[in-house]
Amino acid sequence: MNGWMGTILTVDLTAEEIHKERLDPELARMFVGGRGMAVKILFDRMPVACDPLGPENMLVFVNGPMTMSGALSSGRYMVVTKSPLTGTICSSNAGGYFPAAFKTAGYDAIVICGKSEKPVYLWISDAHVELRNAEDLWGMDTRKTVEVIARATHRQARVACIGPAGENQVRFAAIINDADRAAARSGVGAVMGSKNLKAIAIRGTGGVNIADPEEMLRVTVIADHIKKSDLGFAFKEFGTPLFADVMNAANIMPTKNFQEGFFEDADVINGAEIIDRTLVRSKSCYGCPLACGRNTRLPENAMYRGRGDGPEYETIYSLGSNILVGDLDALTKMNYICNEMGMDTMDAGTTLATLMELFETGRVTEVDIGFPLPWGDAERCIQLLQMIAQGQGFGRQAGLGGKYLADAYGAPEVFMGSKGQGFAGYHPRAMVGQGLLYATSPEGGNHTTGNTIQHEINGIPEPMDPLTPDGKPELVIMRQNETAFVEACGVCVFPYMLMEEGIEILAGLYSAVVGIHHSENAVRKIGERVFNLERVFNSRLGFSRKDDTLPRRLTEVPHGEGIGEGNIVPLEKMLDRYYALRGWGPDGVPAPAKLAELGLG
Amino acid sequence: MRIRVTLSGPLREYYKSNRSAKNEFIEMPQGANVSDLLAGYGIPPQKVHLVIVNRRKAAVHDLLNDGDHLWLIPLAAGG
Repeated sequence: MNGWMGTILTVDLTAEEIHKERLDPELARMFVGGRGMAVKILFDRMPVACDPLGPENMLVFVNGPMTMSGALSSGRYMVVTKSPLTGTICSSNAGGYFPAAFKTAGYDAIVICGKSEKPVYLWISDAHVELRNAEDLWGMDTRKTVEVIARATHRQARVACIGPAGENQVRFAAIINDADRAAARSGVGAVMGSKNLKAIAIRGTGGVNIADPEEMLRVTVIADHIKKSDLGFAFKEFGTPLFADVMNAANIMPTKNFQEGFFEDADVINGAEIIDRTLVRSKSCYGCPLACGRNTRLPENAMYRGRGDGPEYETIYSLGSNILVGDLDALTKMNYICNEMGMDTMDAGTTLATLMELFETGRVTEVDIGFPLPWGDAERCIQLLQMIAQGQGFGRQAGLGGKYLADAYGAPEVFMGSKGQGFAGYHPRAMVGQGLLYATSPEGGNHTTGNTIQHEINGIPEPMDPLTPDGKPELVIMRQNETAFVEACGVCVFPYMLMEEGIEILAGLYSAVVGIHHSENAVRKIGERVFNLERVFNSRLGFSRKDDTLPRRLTEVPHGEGIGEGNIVPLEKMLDRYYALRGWGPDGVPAPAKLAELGLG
Repeated sequence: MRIRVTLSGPLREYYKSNRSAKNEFIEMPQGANVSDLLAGYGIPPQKVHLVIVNRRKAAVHDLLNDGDHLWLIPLAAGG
């Protein structure tokens, strides 16, 4: 097969059995790969009502037909499972070099089932697949785990693993690959920990067949202009932290648990400050000219020590402005801890923000936590992050996430998230389409399923009023469908969702790789199919309109000064139109006619 | 009149004080607009994607007022 490797690997940890099967061409045609193929596999093979942390849940590592194809920014993979944070389907996405090894070892997907009696890791060297004892690795941080496994297997092995947070089933535990890249969201690391699977190490030496290399080259030349553009330059020089300036200047940067949109100290935790203080070099994933990663080191005069990657913009918001930490060194240290312990920086931050507000209002006390937790206290945040990862003291409770804490301490309205997952760094009161996105994302408050910033903030391809609901259901549906296709392909959303003609280019590249022509609309239809199947998965679990919600802070409390002054998110009005345009019932459940149209009947 | 100017990301090369400044104050004549300020800095308008004055979007022909805080921002994206 062109693009696909043609093999799905299934590892049953309970039975200690390894099974290889040929990829069904119909599965590939309908769902492509990545997030799309994985949700179909889970839907067909797993009882959807299973306990996310029980042995019945399956954990699917998956790449796409475009991964390692030579297409721009094609070094991505995903982890798809039922989330212990939200109880929904989820897909967590990462770059680095592990995805390339995974693909070239010869597999489209690795399906992990059951639960191992003892800690193990999976070693794959092309066709060779083996489960190895990992008892000595249990408790080890992610950086050390990568080093030890590479020594024990092969120096070219690429490793995806969990840290102590995953082992302790922290509900927002991540899977870290190549030491610094994170499949971070939705608690996929906790699922891996529940299975006693410490790591997957892979060495791949194969290649990917391309149907039409000449056409591929032609489209790639068109796509290459992005790296020479001002945006491409800004990405490489400043990375995503540059966006902190945009958000703060416009009063849209979530601050103090979304109570405000402007952080006084944002200019000491932004992209320029990183360059001047901590940046070692820009860092790219496989095959990406954008190199938006930040490889950093804390300077000699810092209070903390460490070296690693980050922070990205989302971390600047979540562990910076949203908890009032205006100290780049402390913020970077917290980022390193999250990477080393294997936790999502975003839900670590929204959990801390929830706790700080609960502490400020007296619902959680110094006695509960073991120390006071006022806004901006970086030292205490660092201490608490370690406790969460290690499951110590109050950290065990905090590791259940912000929604759990807000509910348990009688103030559900202070958790800033949807379906149990904390929001990303965009204040929806000043960009209401993003609010609709958060409410309708299959995995809760996640920006990666169809970010609207390019339209609502950057005004590309044309200016759009971010404050009104007009056109937002249409926009969100288009972005969600396009993103679902991008993530089914196994490429990065950045170039393809930021270039004006990104989907057209991706459709051309996909056609060249697999050898079957697909128009822009054809690939959007594939994305729509994937998104709808995720919705059906959730609907089977009872999720519906009642769960497509936002906190009252966003729908009832007017925004402060700046672009969004006085604005709220008119969610219910947008939802009515969104469901109608989706072909779903007013309860948000996909109608049979829509499912039949998409081949999901 | 006195204007506080913040130059974001790659635009910081145009600071008059030093490139690591967080912001700086400049004097502009009464009646000056954003375009005049860009000209004073020598910043090509196409390098500026967003103009924010006092946390609101502004256009290049908008007049400036004493005490304004103006941000010049290139095309950027987060995630």
